[in-house]
Amino acid sequence: MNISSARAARHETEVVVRVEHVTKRFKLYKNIRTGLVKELLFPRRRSDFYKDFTAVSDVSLEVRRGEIVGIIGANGAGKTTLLKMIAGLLPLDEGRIEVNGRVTALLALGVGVHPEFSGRENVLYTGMLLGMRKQEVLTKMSEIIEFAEIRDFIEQPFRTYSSGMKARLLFSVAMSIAPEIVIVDEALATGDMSFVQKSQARIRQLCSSGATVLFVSHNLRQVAELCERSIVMQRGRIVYDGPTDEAAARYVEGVHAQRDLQLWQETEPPDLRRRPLGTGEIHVDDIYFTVDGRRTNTVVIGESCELHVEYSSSRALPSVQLCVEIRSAKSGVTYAFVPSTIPGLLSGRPESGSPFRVTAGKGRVTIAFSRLVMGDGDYSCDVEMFDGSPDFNFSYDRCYCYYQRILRFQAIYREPRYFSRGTMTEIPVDDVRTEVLV
Amino acid sequence: MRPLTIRSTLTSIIRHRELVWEMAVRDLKGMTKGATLGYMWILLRPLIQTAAYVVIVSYVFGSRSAREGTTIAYVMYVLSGMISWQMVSRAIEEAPTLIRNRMDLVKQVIYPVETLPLTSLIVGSVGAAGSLIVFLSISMLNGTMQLSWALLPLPAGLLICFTLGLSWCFMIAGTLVKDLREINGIMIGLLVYVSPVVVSEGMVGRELWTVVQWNPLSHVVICFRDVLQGEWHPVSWAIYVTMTALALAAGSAVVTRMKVAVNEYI
Repeated sequence: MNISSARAARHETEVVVRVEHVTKRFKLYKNIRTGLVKELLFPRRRSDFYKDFTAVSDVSLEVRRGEIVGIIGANGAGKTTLLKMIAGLLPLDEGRIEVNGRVTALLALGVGVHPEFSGRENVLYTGMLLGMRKQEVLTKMSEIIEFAEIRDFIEQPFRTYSSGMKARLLFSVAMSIAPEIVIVDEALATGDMSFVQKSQARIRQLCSSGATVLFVSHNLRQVAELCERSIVMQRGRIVYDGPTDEAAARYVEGVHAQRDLQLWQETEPPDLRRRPLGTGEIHVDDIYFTVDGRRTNTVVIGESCELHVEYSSSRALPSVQLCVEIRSAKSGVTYAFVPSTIPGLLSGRPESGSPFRVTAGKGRVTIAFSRLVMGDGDYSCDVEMFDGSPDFNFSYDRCYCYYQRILRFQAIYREPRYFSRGTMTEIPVDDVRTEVLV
Repeated sequence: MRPLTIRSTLTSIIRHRELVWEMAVRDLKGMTKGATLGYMWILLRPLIQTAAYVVIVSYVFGSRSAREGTTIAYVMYVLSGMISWQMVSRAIEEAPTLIRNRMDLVKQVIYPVETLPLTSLIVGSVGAAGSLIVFLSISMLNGTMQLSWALLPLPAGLLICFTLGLSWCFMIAGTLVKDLREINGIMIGLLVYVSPVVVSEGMVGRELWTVVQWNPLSHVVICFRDVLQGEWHPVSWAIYVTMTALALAAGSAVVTRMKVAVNEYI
């Protein structure tokens, strides 16, 4: 190894951010108005006036030059607090942070922007607030405007811009600096797809030029595309530090573990306030999912569950059909559970796969799934009950009852490997054949 | 320790001078953007205030001394006092909200908060500079020019240091205790009547003049007026210099120690 490559190697492995056993507590004043004044007036009794909240607890971390490190975790996990401490925006309570290089924090776009100023003026001030010299901003002005793709509007007041234009311009300013260490917090989440891709390319370019990036996002896909290494934070601690794939899996697993805990605790009743459409012969009294016999609003894809519809009927009806339409909030896909057209889904009484008889009074229909197949995400349900005879001509008015958005629930994957792929629906395959072709 | 904190704080200001200047320009532009008279307001305000004080003191209170001398002499007296008073009073009134009003900036960007008072001072000095120009022009027309004008940088330099120190303290304290803004506003509103801005020794008599002397801000006004009108009050100068040194030392110590910590409270 010659001297220059040895120097280059050392340059690359140089630690630029070193966080050692850092803890940060915030004071939560019992009385937000007078708490601080009381604390200042009576320092001996200060602990009477607030509770400590530990936002970051004993965190250690090393980041080397040129690394892009993703930081993921649920809201309130301590990500932003940690980054603010690295940026020098918050004092530490315990531990030590050593930073070698100029830090640029992109914690929020649009800081210091004046709505009456033109795009050009705002570029100048935003650039300077991010630590650039005036001359530097002026030199890069045309490059910034070019990157933001708003050439024709640059002299207009900033308030006239669309939110996408604002975000693009501000991000362009932020990306025009040649930072040594840059902290990006969710700032990439705005803009259209092509701009997001362009921004990611710019971040990669920054890193290859030796800059170090700490990247916080809830968008696991973005993190996975940008960062090789990621850190997972949970309740103020780092629970994982390593390859992003594994980190993302850990994060999703953590979310699921928490959801599992909450699965039985959080049940939301159906919304029966809205007046149903239809003739009104039947009323739905309750609708809910059960998993292992317990009521829940969360179902696990690929596992068993039951959907119960409790109703009351004003008179006996010889043939009633039930249809439950569910709409995915994530993808807009609508599914329908129609027992008669999907034989075998209806279990118990009445007999599977056909319209059923309703007597006057209360009753219950249970739709059982041995292996639920649907996309993940949040759903809302519509329920309709109508005449099950073959000559019935369907319309909402002629239904016995038709409820819109009566129940909300979520479908989740137990296995976390499907993270970051939008709505994913697993379609069962009946057979797989392999052949060798000559 | 003390000289060190003063030096590091001042060094930081010098290092960020470009930012300080541009932010002041931005604030000035922002203040007047959309107003028909634009920058004229910055100049008009102190002049109207001067006129108001002259009218109140000489006609409403019917001060004999104010009317005995020529009206123009009294106008010049008030105007010379207003120049330094408006700078100090504006700084004291604004300081408690300096950080709070720029919350998003201070919380999200690594902003050198120690430069905020200077930015505010530059904005405030535009009005004072206007008053000064009016004062100097009228004096020249009257033929009452003074050689001591050459010494103007001296009280001006002290004024910058004094208000900076004071603003640093109030800026940090105001972030912690929101009421400070109101307290300062009321204090300044009252103090102007026990200051030599509107009253002179000859107008109020010995006893009241002693009260005026107890107002620390009086000495700032007296020293400024010394240079503008060719007078000499050595005691006031000694007090002014001492206050400036103390304010600078206390202010830089407070801002160095607390500038990151205050982020927790905003």
